[in-house]
Amino acid sequence: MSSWVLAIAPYASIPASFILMALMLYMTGYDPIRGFSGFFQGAFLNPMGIATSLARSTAFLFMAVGIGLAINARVLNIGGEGQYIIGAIVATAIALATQNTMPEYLSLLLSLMTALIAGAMWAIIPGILKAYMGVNEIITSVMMNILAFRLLQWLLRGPLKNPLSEAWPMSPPLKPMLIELVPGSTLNVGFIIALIIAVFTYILLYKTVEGYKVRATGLNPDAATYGGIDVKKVMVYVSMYSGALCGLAGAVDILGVFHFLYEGISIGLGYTSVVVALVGKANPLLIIPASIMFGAIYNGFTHLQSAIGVSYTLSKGIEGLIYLVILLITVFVEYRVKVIVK
Amino acid sequence: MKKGEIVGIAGVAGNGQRELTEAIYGLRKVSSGRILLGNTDVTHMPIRRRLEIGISYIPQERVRYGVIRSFSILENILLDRFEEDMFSIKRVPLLKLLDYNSISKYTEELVRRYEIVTPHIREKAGALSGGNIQRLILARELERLPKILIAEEPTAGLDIKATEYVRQKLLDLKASGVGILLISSDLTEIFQLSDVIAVMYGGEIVGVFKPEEISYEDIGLYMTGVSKMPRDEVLRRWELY
Repeated sequence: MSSWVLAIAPYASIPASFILMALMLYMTGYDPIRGFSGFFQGAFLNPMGIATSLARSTAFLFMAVGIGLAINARVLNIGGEGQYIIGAIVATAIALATQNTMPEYLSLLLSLMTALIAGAMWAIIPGILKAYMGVNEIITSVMMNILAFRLLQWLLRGPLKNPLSEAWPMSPPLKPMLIELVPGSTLNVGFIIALIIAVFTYILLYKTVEGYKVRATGLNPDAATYGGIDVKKVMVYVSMYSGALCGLAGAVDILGVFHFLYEGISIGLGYTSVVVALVGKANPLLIIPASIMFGAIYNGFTHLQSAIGVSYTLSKGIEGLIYLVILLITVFVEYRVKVIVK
Repeated sequence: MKKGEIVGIAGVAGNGQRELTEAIYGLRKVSSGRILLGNTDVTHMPIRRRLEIGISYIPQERVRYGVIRSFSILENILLDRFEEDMFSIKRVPLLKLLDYNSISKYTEELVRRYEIVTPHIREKAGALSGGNIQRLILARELERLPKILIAEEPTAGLDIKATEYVRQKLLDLKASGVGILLISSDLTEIFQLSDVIAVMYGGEIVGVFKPEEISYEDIGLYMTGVSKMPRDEVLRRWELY
């Protein structure tokens, strides 16, 4: 099958997922038409909606590009969730520590850089365990995710607690802010940074010697070893690169969207990003439209929820189902399904 | 092993030939003994370094080690040569950008000279026939201008034309002064190409001969472990030849 069919498939699967969505809403007693209207209004049909959709896609783009690069070396970074949280924590801590003493741009730069390094460090542990000891990276990454979340919970009740907020565990508000692209929206300069990184990663992967090593490692580790590539080192490096981008995603969301740290900063963003990376065929350029699509869906659901009063859980459930449909169609379009009657 | 000499290792497959080649190339860790190239000790060198000092290896398992099937012919030419200066543009610090123009030209030249049958150099290596994959590997390894070449069963599974082609290439390479270690279970090939024949049995060299001083039948006795040369005789002849 030609490659453009494969590239288009995930977008062509949207109508199918909307039919499913309508069915789910109808069965649970909501009005699908009003829901859809809310969804589209919120996600695409006005400038602010588009801005918010792009803002939501920023984190997906950062993380999916990192995860996609690692997939090319056959390393599945499922730890994006934890690395995102660690990035957010570190960015918050550094911003709080420097916001009163440093100029804003310096404070921002320092927060972003330290979050990037922290994300890489959080990812290096599963990376080394996989490369040198053969420990399955999925298991260790999930453990690291839980650890990151517990750390977040503790910090919000301890060192990073906002003394003014009694009921809600949250950090004090942060002053340094990433430049807004559309005034009044959450769309910030982070989106541009993410686009630049996506293009850079594409060049890295397909046009450089380093990228050649990554792809060779993923396609045939034996031949890569024969070619003098240290595949273990490659695995550790891609884990770090991936973790660095996930950490950066957390920092950008904190400094550009939320402006304070709280427990719910990431509910499965890291896991959704794995789906985004897979829909984008682990190719940084194809991941750009995939991220925007997922950002729009994510944003649309927030509006659908408020438009018809669906519970948060049901809304998230349907959202998950949509991701599943898109992923299944993306994957199955590559295979020919044959029914054999015996 | 000397320059411009082919040392043939004869033996029934599974008597330590694979282990020997993998140890020399660096795919396998060496627990005792030393491997010297000239005066350089390569025993514990990483493969990258061994490639740089001029060791080339044509593996028997060409699809597992020799090529990456889902890479194009062009990309496979880079497999152990991506670090070479002629393939990269050094414009940005830290990153080595691949110079696809120069790689394409070079690959096209190799495809022509080594008579690799393919519609295009962007064709996947997995789409090539066994003989053409071997030509591709040969092109890559010989054009690196190695100092020594390890050829492991270089003609196994090839048709007559490709077999003759590979053997001729090995003789040409020998004439240009490269030392070749030929591992083959095909006795005709060993006799046809080798200057010195060593027989392996049970992980040991059990005999060293000049091709003209031993017959097929007698070498068969060494290969099956019936005859065995004393160790000091092996070492003496090894020095002598």
